[in-house]
Amino acid sequence: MIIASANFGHIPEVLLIITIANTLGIVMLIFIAKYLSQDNHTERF
Amino acid sequence: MQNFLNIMGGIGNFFLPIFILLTMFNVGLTQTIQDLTEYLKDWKFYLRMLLTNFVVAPLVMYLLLQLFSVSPELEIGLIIFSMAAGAPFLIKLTQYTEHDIALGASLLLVLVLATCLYVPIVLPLLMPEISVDDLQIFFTLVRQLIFPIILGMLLDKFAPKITDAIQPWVAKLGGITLYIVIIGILVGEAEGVIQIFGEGAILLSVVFVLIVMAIGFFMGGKNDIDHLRMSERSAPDSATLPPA
Repeated sequence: MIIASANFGHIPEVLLIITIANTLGIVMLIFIAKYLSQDNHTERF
Repeated sequence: MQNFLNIMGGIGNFFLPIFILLTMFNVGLTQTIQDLTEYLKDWKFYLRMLLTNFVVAPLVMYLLLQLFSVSPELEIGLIIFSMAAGAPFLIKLTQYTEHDIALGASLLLVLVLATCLYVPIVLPLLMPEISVDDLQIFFTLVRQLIFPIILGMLLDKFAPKITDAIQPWVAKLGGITLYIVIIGILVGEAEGVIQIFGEGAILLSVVFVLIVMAIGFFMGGKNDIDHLRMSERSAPDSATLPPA
């Protein structure tokens, strides 16, 4: 986002897709990370 | 309705740098330079992560863009998205998977420094029509990511009592601001999402994240130092987190 905002601030679509892709990626990875953590807790017992 | 979306987007963008500052400051408050550098001994792990983030990830995006075409503007955005690594969210993901934060922080620093070198060189090669201000990128990343870590480390060294008092609050506020940022941006950008949804770029980015996450998961393997540290702390064992 830093790179895009510094170089493509005049093209809103570039910033938009990076913002959306970044945020959706984080949401997905949070769920996956929590699942992996939970899964490993289950395996321990 | 438009005002509401603007306000939500504004809240998300307002809290984004605060989240980054709090997360990186918390790393500085809880870790020492020795904690971070200890992980660097496992250079093969970092080599695999650099390979995944700067060779495999852009290649996956390139292949996806060959298969599914999107508008040139969205293509530029997706290419940049695939090339830049080292998001501060990596620290939160490391916490969620119950790994040592020092592992996430040292990997984040390596990825940020590599991004500072890699993007200004490779991006103009892929898109000759653009020029990238490498110094501006470098100083912005240093100011937002590395400076708060140094500040936290200095505070911990010279005022440990203050560190003990504020660290739990910094960690909690960092977690809260993450959710504010996510909700604010997703709601604020809802109109933009609807506008570009039909182009398939959002689906492409989701597929890209899942593919690269799976590759990163297998490329990461197990970090011996992390496993040793976490077992010393009697923390539960867990799989290695994929790269950012």
